[in-house]
Amino acid sequence: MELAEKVVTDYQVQPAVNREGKYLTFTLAGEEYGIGIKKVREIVGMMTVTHVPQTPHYVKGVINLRGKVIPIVDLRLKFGMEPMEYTERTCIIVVEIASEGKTIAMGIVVDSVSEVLNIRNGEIDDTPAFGSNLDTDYILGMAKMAGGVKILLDIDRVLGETEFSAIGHLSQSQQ
Amino acid sequence: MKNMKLGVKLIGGFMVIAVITLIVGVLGITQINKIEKADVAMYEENVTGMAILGDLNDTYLSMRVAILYALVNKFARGNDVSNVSESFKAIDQKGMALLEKFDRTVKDPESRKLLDAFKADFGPYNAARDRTIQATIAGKLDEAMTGLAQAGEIGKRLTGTLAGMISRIDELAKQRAENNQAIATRANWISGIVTGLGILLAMGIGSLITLSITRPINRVVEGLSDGADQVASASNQVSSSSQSLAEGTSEQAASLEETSSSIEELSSMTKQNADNAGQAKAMMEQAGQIVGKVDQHMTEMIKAIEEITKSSDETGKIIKTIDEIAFQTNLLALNAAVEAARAGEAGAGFAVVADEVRNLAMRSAEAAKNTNNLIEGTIKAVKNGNELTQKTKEAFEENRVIAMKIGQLVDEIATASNEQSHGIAQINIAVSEMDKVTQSTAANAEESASASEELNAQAEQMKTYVEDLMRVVGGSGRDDAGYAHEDSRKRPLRSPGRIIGGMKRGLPSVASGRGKELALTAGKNTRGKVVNPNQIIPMEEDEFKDF
Repeated sequence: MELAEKVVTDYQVQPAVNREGKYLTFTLAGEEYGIGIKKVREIVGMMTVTHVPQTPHYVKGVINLRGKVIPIVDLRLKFGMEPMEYTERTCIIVVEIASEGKTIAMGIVVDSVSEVLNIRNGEIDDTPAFGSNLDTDYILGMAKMAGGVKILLDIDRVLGETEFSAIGHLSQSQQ
Repeated sequence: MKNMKLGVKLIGGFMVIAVITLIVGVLGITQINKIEKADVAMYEENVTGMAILGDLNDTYLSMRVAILYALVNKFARGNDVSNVSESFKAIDQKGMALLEKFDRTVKDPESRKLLDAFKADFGPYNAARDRTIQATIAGKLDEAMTGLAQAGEIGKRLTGTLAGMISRIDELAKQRAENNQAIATRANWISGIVTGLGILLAMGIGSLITLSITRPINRVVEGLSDGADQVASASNQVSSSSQSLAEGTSEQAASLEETSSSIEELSSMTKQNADNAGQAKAMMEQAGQIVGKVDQHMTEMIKAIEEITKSSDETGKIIKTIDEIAFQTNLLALNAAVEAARAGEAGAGFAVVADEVRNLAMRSAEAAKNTNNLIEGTIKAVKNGNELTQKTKEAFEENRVIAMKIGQLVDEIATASNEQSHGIAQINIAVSEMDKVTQSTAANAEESASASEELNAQAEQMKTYVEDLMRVVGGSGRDDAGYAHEDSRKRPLRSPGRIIGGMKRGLPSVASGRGKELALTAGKNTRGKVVNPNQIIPMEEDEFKDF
């Protein structure tokens, strides 16, 4: 009963959110993802990443962005995909994540940045269930665009709290 | 006897015969001499004596007649007869002379006795006669008659003595004649015997010598005949082989001509080859030069392409820069959009601007991309061109290498053609030499053919000589039983001309012909017929006709 409720509740939560708005789309391993524009602080090209030891493998390190130290996460590795050689199109999207009531800047390494899209609700579908065990919280929804589906990410959930604290300390110390 | 020279034998034989003849002759001569002497003796002693006696008789008779005539003359006719004494003197002288003459001839004692008696009577007779004559002259008939009677008596004795002498001489003559006859008979016998012996001896020696001459001659003739046959056959072989040699040589000469002409062709072709090789070499060199030029151009082209590539690369770099700029501009636009979104309402216009900037960035990126594409296309094309150029270069390099090799080969061909030319010149020389040799061989063959012809002719002549010799030695060839077997071999000799003529006509070899002849003649021999050449030659002709 509780499980069913949880499922229903979980399932019911998402349609209530208004997901319409501008999304910054980027590619990752051939797939198009989108992040709400409000979450995006800035986009920079790839730059030298200072490796930090004793960090998870998807944490590449930190960068110095105009005096600010920003931790970098390789989204590929985060998603468990094959790592890729960084090209000239590889960008770092500096996102702002809400955690513990604070806004923390993090950078995610993506293959390439596409554009800012204005996506309407009608174009967004809910995430299908791939089985009850799979956690798809981090996906806001699927945007149906001409030529494919863009996965809209909830970046807060992507860069989840479990890892957050370790990383958050890094940025917090700098702030 | 066997080893003496023929001349010696003959001379010896004839000498022996001469000696025998000499002996016979000498004997004859001596006997004749004897007879002659006897004859002369007879003449001198008997015939002369007889003649003298005859004369004497005549003288005596004439004297008696003269006396009577004187008597008659004087007394019957009454003539003067004084001159008669002169005539009687003459008669006396004559008589004396005759007596002397006769005296000289007298050898026989009995005759001598008679002569002496005659002489003894002669004086008185003459005295009586003188008396008678004197009386007659004087005309005294009675004295004359008395004297005549005296004379007559003596005269009778004289006559008797004379007759006796005559008869004695006659007797002596007869004796002598008998003696002579005996001598002659003896001489005859001796001569006859000696002649007979001589004849036998001569015949014997003659036979011996003849045998000793004819046997070897026959052997030699046999050998010569055989030899002549062999020579004839050998010369025939030589002739035929010379002929075939001449034919072969002429064939060789013809084929040499052909060879020579084909060598000429070969030579001209080789020359052509050499020329062509030279031309090819020149062309190869030209081609090499061209390839060199092409290589040069290739290199230049490669350089140009490299420059193009370089400039393309640089252009690419620039385009890359532009692309980066576009990218950065895009990022900028995105950032602007983000800021505009964060700004909310206030940033709406900025959002538009950001959008336009993004559009521009997109256009730049697009243009850059297009240009990049173009450049990439160009670079690809250039790379392609480069590759092609490279390939062409390599191909030309290969070509050059091959051209070099071809050049080498052509060089070798040229050299080989040269050597071939030399070789052909040598071959030409050798062929001309061979031609010379062939010519001389042909001439030699001709010579040897003619020499063999001569040899043939000589053999033929030799055979005729042998024939002659055989004829001289053996006549028809059947003098001895011992030569009978040779006869069969002699027969071919008798028709050497036929055989050699047959050979000249190119009929099969003599050996088979002769074998047949031998068979024929052997058959004939066993039949024991007398060999007649005329019987044989037609047979041989027939045989040859059969051939």
